[in-house]
Parts: sequence; structure tokens; C-alpha cells
Amino acid sequence: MLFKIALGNVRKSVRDYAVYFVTLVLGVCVFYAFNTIANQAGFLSKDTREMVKSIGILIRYVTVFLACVLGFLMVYANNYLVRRRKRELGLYQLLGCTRGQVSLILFFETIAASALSFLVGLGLGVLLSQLLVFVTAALFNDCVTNFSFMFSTDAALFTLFCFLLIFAVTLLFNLRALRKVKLIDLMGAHRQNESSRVRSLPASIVLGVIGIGLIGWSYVRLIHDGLPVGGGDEMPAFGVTTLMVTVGTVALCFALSGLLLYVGKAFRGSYLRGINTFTLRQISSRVNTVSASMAVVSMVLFLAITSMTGGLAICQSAMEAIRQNMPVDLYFNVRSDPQGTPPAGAPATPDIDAMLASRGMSVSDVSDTVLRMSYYESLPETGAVTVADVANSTGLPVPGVDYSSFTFGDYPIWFVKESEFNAQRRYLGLPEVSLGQSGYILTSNGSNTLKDFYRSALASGLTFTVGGEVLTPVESEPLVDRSAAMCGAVFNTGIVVVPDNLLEGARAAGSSLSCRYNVDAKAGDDWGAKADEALTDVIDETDSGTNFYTGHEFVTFTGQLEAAMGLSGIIAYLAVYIGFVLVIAVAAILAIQQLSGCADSAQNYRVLSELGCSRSMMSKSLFVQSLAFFLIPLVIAGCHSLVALGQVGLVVEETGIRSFDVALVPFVVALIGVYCAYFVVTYVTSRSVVLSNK
Amino acid sequence: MAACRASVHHDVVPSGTTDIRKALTMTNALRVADVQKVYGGKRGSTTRALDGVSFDVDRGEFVAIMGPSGSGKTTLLNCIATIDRPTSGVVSVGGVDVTKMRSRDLAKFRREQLGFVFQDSNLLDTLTCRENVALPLSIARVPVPQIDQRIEAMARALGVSEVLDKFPYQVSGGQKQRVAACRAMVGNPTLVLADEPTGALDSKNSKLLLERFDALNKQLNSTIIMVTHDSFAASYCQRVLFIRDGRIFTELRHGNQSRKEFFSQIMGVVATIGGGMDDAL
Repeated sequence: MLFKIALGNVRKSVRDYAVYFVTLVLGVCVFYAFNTIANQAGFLSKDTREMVKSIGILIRYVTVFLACVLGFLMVYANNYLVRRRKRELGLYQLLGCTRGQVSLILFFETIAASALSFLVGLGLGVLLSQLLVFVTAALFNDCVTNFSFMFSTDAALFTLFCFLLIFAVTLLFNLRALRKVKLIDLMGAHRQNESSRVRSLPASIVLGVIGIGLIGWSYVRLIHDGLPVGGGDEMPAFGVTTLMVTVGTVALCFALSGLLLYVGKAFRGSYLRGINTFTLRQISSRVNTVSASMAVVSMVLFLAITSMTGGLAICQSAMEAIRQNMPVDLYFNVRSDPQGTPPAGAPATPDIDAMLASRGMSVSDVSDTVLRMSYYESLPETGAVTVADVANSTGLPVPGVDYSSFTFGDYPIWFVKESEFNAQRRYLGLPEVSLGQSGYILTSNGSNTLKDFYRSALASGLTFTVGGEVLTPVESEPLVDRSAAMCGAVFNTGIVVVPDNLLEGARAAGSSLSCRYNVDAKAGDDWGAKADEALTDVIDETDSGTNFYTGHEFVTFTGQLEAAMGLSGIIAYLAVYIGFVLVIAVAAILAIQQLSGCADSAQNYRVLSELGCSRSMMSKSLFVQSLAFFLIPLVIAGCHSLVALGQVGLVVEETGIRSFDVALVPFVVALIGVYCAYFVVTYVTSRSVVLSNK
Repeated sequence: MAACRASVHHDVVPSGTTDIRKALTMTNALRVADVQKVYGGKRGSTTRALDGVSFDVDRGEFVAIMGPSGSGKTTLLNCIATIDRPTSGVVSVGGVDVTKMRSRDLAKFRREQLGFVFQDSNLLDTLTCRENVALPLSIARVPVPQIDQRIEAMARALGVSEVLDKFPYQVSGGQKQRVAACRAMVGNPTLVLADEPTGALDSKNSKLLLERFDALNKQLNSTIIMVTHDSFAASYCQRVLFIRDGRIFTELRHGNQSRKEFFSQIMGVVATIGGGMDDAL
């Protein structure tokens, strides 16, 4: 019997359950979809697989945290439901139901609504996860190798587990709420008067000025100080900025209702036109009652936007940075001791082609255009040159990493020939450089600290003496473009390009070979791996006892990408995931608040209609109210985000290349789409709540 | 019963004489002719809430409608107020038949022709009293300077000038009700409909409100129809219509008698209705 009542109730109050339902469905959908990440690995190429799996585990931890957020949300949505139906619940008790029985009705109702939303959510989640396979693939620059429809029992069970957890929490709160209220309150719940007053104008203005002032000041601070990338003593200042923007937002939200009213009234002509008075008063009163949570919503929305776009931007630029530092597909180098004695039959400078040929391999199998380069670690007259030497000769401090004992002092500076360097630049499609008789160019793709160090060194007139010639820089800035990479190693801590003739007599410390494939990446990488084995083999065989070879390197673009994507992929995934869940949470809170506000003021619309207000006028007013309710936090969060993301962009640009990209657009659109969906549901539901009460 | 109906019909022009009817509707603020309202579906039991009610209200009249619970007085008021539609019959306000009106014209009609006062003042709690009163004018797009002027004048007439800038929850019940009356009359409607306006007021505030109604009715020539079951309130009116079981039962006119005499007369009819009508007739 009770179950029958409960089912009937759900069917009857579908409208009231709409928000509850949408929130649960979206929650379950996103939960499931992101938890299938570990399972999606099967569709991706082998190298990406492991990494994606490790993300999956991480996401599970985050999910539990987010389950708590959603749980809180459901409690909130549920409170709204109970409030809407207090009278009905009171009536059950009046008719002789015990509280236990009423609780049971509520329990069955929640089960019915939740079970339905779980199934729908899971269904949508399965669809979304199919889509996510391709998103994952795109994020990792991979292609989907063997796609088939997938259902993950693991993810479904885990989602169910989290869901039950949420459900249990909701239920507990529900029953507690019911136990606490008195029957008289339940029965009288339909008639409640709004008695909270809008703050006085002077108070609002003062608060508003404080709020806007604090926010503005924090923007200035953030733009001036930047993000605390260095950590350490930048953190307290950043903390103060964060606190300022938070307090400012709260103050602004508290001042908003008064300010809105003041501004609205200033336009007396339009204020007293149609039901604008009512609309504005309603918005102001709603904002006034929920100002605290509006501040929270704004800040969470801000967090969601920055988390998502910032995370994705970092991921994006990390990928581009990889291309920048690894402009070819394959790179080999073999280093030797320039003072040592080469093993019998081996050339004084390592010859990679010859080594490969001795094992019957040739790079021409995978590439048409191969780039070969020799580099010189030390010069006959000066011996090995290091970063510390440059610091000594220019009087600059040895560059290092802040707050650690690490310095770049021991890092070598290498020398390459102008002709080989220009060959590389031609290969990369860059203009050649010209050094003249006694010029040099300093290149580096190291960290900003190192680049800044070289900039200062060049400014203070750094010279090198090579082959008796004193070389002066032809460029006052270090060369940091793509050609700075792969001269000696992928991480170039300083390479000096000098005229060919000056290095004629010197013995090279190593040689490199790099190329772009003319076959597909997988075939090329496979060949590369085999070639690396062959090189290791040759070196081990010929080098026994002489220690002539000091090392060799094998780097592929794919390998670099995967290594970097491990980190940035996780960042991107978590950013998108957290961003989405937060937006769902925030939008649901807004929707619930707006709906409960409308339900409370349904009587007002009856009065309006008696005063001769047409339905379209009231619809319009409701639309404006809902819009304002959703737009205010979005605008505040948007302003914060623009400033913050500008800074993120700067940081990303420093470390990488570009910051924002069209690739971000779908995510931002999806984010705003979810928000808009909630807005539409809110508007339509509130309209039916209000206008059907005739 | 039949005799009773005839007594009400004495001033209703028989149908067919259209010219005279037209001429009369010019002066009538309200004409209700043979209105029936039947609730219930095609199958199952039906409830006849209004069973052929007819009466006219002249411009500038202050009329009370009385009747026991379930007599149909609220249904009648709803039909007049265009909130509900009669099953058959004609309701015309200011010469316009509202039963034939399309629903989207009704909003315009309500805002131009009707003013409402309810038992619980129904003021919008987020608006100040002044803004509440301004609402019908601003909905009708009256120019702002005129709005101010009319609010002030009406507030003075109803004695609520000093509370205009307060919120409804800051003023007393009596003041609230007078502000509501202010809102109902500020648009100068053809017809003011009051549904138990004194129902939630103490006797002092009831008296105050009724005196203001009376004064406005005389000064501004406002037409007021008030539904009430309070004989005291009804005694302020010029005419009282009694309704029972969906029909007009009888009517009383104030005439030249004192309010006290009129009050006892009303009390007599109320006792008759309450004590079982069939015996009385």
C-alpha cells in the first residue's frame, strides 16, 4: 500500500522530481563514463594503454571525493522536494500514518526515482563512454585501433557503489529532516511570508565598493605577481590574493541585491513599466536570500572553468612543446671521449651509419632525408667549457633552480659547425644564419632560467676563443627556436654555433643522426628500436676495455610524447572530470534554489494575473529572473576566470608555446551546454510550477 | 422559489428587446443574465454551482453578495472576475460580454476593467506598498508622473499615505487591506470586486475599511461588489443580494433607512437562510 502511494506520488510530482532526476542522471552518466577510462585502454595502441590505465586508477580516487560532492547535492535537492511537499507529508500524519510509515513512503519514492535515474544515467553513461574513447585517443594523439561497443561491468559496479553511498546519505538526511519538524509546521508550510529585508542602500554601496575594490585589487596583484610557479615565498602572497578575491566576491554578492535595486530604480521610466518592478524586486529578493551560496557558486564555477580550460591548455601546450623540442621523428647520438683512443678499426668520431651498416641496417629504409651532425664538447685550447665557465667569464651568478642546491654549473656547452647547423635549419624550414669570420650564435632550448642567464651573458659581451679567433655574438639574444633542439641532445643546455674552419682540427665528441620517417610512425619506431639494439650491440662489442664510447641516446617523438602525455594527460583528464562534476553540482544548486523560490512565490503570480498581467508577461519575467539567477554567478566566475586564465596562459607560454587553442572549444561548449541545459530546465519547470497554479 | 426569482427579475428587461437592452447596458456596470455553472464531467455526478443567476449592478453602486458556505457566491465572483467561465449565460462588464472573450484578451480586460480585493490582502511581499499600488498602472503602461500622482491621491483617500514606502510585512493587517484596496482602485476600474475583504480584520479595522469603501463609492462613484458573510460589512452597502443553492434568494435595498435598521433587516434574512429556507418560504 505504502509502496503504491509512493509510486503514485513520483508519477504525480514528476515536475518536482525533475531537478533531482536530472542531477542524478548527469551524475551517474559522468561517473560511469569517466570510470571506464581504464577499460578504454583496450582500444588504444599499446604504448598509450599503460598510461591510460594508471589514469583510470587515479580517477577512481577523485571519483569518491566527487561522490561526496554529489551526495551533498542530492541532500540539497531532496530538501527542496520535502519542502515542496511538506503539507502532503503532514496530511499523511494527520490521517494517522506514523512517522515511520511516512518515512517509508518517502523512502520508496526516493528508491523509485533514484532507480529510474540510475538506469537512465547508466544508459547515457554507456553512450558517453563510447564517445570518450575518441576523445581520449585525440588527447593522446593516438587513433582508435579496434573499436567495438563496450560495457564495463567494473565501472558500472563502481558507479552503483558510489550511487548507493549517495543514496544512503540522502535518505539519512531525509528521515532526519522529517523527524525534526512539527506537524503544525508541515501543515502551515504553504503559507510563508518572505520577511528577510534587502540590505539598506548605504550598506549595499559600502559592501559593493569593498567587494569590487578587493576583486579589482586582487586582479591587479595577480596580473602583477603572476601565478606562484616558483612555489616557496610566492605562495603566501598568492594566498592573500586568493583570499582577497574570495572575500571580494562574498562582499559583492551580499551587496548585489541592494545595488541591483538601486540601479534599477535609477531608471524610473523603465522600472515602473510593465512588471519590471516585480521582476527586479523578485531578483533582488532572491539574490538577497541566497547571497552566501551565490558567492560559493561563483567561486566553484570559477574553479570549474579554470580547472578545465587551464588543465586542457597545459596539456595542449605540453604537446606542442614536445614538437618544438623534438622536431623530428627519430634521433640517435653516440658520444665518445675526444681525448681517448678509438678501438681498432673504428673512426675517431663515432659514425652511426657505419655502425648500423655493420649489422646490415640502413636509415634509408625509413627515411629519405637524414640529418647528420657532429658536436664538439671541448676545444683544444680551452678544454671542456661548462655553464660555470660562462658565469665566471661574465661575472654572472651560476644559474640554478630556486630553493634548491641544484645548479646548471656542470652542464657542458657544446660547439657545432655553422654548415651543419644551417643544414639542420634548412631541414626544418628555417632561414639560415650567417656568422661571418668571427661571429657565433648561442642556442638553447633549456628552461627559462637558463635562457635568461644566456641573455644576460650575451648582453655583457660574452666571447669565446676558438682556434685562436676571438668570437663575438652576431645575435644579442640566444636562439631558442626549433633548431636549438637536437644539435647535441633533446635538452640543449647551451650550444654555440661557430664558423666551420675553426673546428677543422678538433675531434668531435659525438655525432647524431636524426630523420623524419617516410613510413608510418609505428614502422619507423619499430625500425628505430631495432637500430638501437644494433647500436648497443656494436658499441658493447667494439668498446670492450677501451671506454672510448661514453654513451648513446635513442629518442623518438612517440616516446617523448608518451612520456609527457603521462603527466599532462592525467592533468587534462582530471581537469575535465572535476570541471564537469563541479558545473553539474553548481548548476543543480542554482536550479533548486530558483525553483524553490518560484514555488514559494507562486501566489504572487496569481495576484499578478488578477491585476491583468498576461501570461506572456509573466513568462518573460520568469525568464529574466531565471536568466539573472544563472547569469550573475557565471559573469562573476567568467571575470575571475579571464584574469586567472590569462595568467595560466602566460605561464603556459613561458614553458611551452601557445596557450589556448581551438581544441579547447568543444570542452568549453560542453561546459556551457550543461549549464544552459540546467537553465532551460529551470525556466521551463518554474514556468509550469507558477503558471499552472491558476 | 419561483416567486422569489420573479422578485429579482423585476428590473431585468426581457430578452428580445435588444434596443432597450443596449441602452441599459450603457449605464450598467455589470449585467449577469441567467448564468449557470455546472461542475463535473459528462459521466458521473454533476454539481450545479450556479443555477440561473441574473442581476444588474448600476454604475456607482455598492453591492454586497451574501450567502451561506457552498451557496455559489465565490463561483459567481470568479465568473464575474473572468477567472472562471460560466457554463451558460451572459456576464457583461461595462457592456462587454466577458464569457465570449478570448483568453488572451482577458488579461487586458482585467487590467482595464476590474480591481480585486481579497481576504488576505495578497500584496506582493517583495514589493513596497507603493510599488504594489503602482503595479496595475505600470502593467497598463501609464506614464510615470501620472502613476505617482494617482498613487498619492488614492493613498490619501484610503488613509495609507504614511505606509506607502514600507514593505507589506512591516504594516498592520488593516493597513495591508487598505493598500490592497488602493491597488484595486487606483486604475479606476469599471468594477471593484472584493472577496471577504474584512474576513481577516478586527472590528475596528473592518469599520475603517468599510467607511473608506463607502466614501470612495460616493466620491469617485466607484462600483463595488463585495462578497461577504459578515452582516455588519454588508450593512454599508446600498443593496444586498442573497444567494443560496446557486440561485438568487432575495435582495434588500438600503434605501433611506439608517445603517442600523438595514443591519437588522439583513440579520433577519441571514437567520432565515441559516434556519432552513424551505420553512420560511
